Amino acid sequence: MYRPQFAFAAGVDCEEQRCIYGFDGTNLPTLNPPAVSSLLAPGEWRSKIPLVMDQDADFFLRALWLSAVGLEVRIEDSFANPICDNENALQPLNYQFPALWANSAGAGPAVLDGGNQWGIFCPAGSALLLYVYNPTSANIDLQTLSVTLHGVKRYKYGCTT
Amino acid sequence: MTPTLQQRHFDYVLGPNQDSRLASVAAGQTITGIALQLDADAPFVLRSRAMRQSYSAALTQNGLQFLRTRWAGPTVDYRSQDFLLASLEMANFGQVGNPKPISPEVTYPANGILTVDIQNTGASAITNLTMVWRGVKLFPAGVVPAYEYPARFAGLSFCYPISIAALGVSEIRNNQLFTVKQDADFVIRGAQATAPRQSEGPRSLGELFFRLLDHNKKPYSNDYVPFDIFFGAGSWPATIPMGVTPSFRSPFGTGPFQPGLVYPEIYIPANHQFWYDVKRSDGAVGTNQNEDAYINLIGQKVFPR
Repeated sequence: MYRPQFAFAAGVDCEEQRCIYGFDGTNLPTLNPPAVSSLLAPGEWRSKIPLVMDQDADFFLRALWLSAVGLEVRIEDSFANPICDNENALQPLNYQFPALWANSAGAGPAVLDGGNQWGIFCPAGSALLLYVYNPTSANIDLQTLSVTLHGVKRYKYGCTT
Repeated sequence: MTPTLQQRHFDYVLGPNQDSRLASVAAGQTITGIALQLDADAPFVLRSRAMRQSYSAALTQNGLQFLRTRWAGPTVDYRSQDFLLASLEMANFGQVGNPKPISPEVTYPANGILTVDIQNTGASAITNLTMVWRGVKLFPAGVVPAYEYPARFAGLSFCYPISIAALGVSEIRNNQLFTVKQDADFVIRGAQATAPRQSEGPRSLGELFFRLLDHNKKPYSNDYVPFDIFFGAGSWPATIPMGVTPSFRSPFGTGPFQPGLVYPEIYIPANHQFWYDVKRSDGAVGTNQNEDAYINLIGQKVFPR
């Protein structure tokens, strides 16, 4: 958070490529009918929605952007470590309001600190887990949710095209 | 910075509690020689500034665009030759957790005096004008307890939400505890909080103030700091005056990308606690009622290895 973004050297014998993963109702079956209803009722939640990484390279998650549609959201990394708080008695505290976490007014994605390699390590082919919760008093259409993951893919030298 | 000195985040608030003349700055009024005596415990290094006023009934800050200021260093050495429009000095008046940087930094001695002159060139009074001077206090190393990273550790980006439930319209809720969970240490680097809202009626959650204290109850500010200066947030209502008429705009280029920063970061070991105070002074007007507010502490979990 204190550092300039993406100013970190790649690992030994590696090269990095900027990579953005976008997830929404068009590529997440859980958010998209007719498999299930896209409406999330007040006080309801939907858990463990997989955000699947490509298989060609490991991904280092360095920033996040969420659309603000009234939902609260939690994300767990590829090893099921939550990157925001959970296991609280008060349900809204187990999720994050996008406006307080990863929704920006024209300023870009929210930088995620942490990880020993300047990014949250997501192995090739792994999946982050998305949790959503409706804290409002009205149905929310999950198809309005958009999650964008910013970071780099790390390739061995000679493996990129 | 001299390595034998220890920096500690600090906000000096200069508002009506410090100088009653700031409660209402009349149209056309000039006030000179507003002086804030700094604490005796440590010198202060000024690194950024911000300001706000009380929200109007329409949840706007309609007098700030007419405010002109002139402030001085430790020897009453003014940093501008005349009054400057605050709107030309800083974007969004330094609010939404993005105070205007002061570079190079200005060091005030312990017990020093922070001086500012103000001028309201508008046609109406500015109420509860509050200026925040953000920087660090300098202590000899080891004087103030501060935890440090273990020799070997793993890190993970993490956020701790705090719920301030059913905060009354004129409530002071002091001595609230925040506890870091048992699985890892936590480093606070930034913070976001509920933005002032219009959706639930005029002035709903407009006048919110916050004070952070360490585990010894040593505060990180001399008074409550306005939420809209201490914290960032996305989805702000249109509160910032633009133009002569004026029209009101939402802050642009702010939000979680640029959260309200705490510098230097605050390291809290697992199972440890710190304190915070919250104040709301919206008053029982309009549709005001008890409201929930949320704070989001942003930083990193530290797992010792």
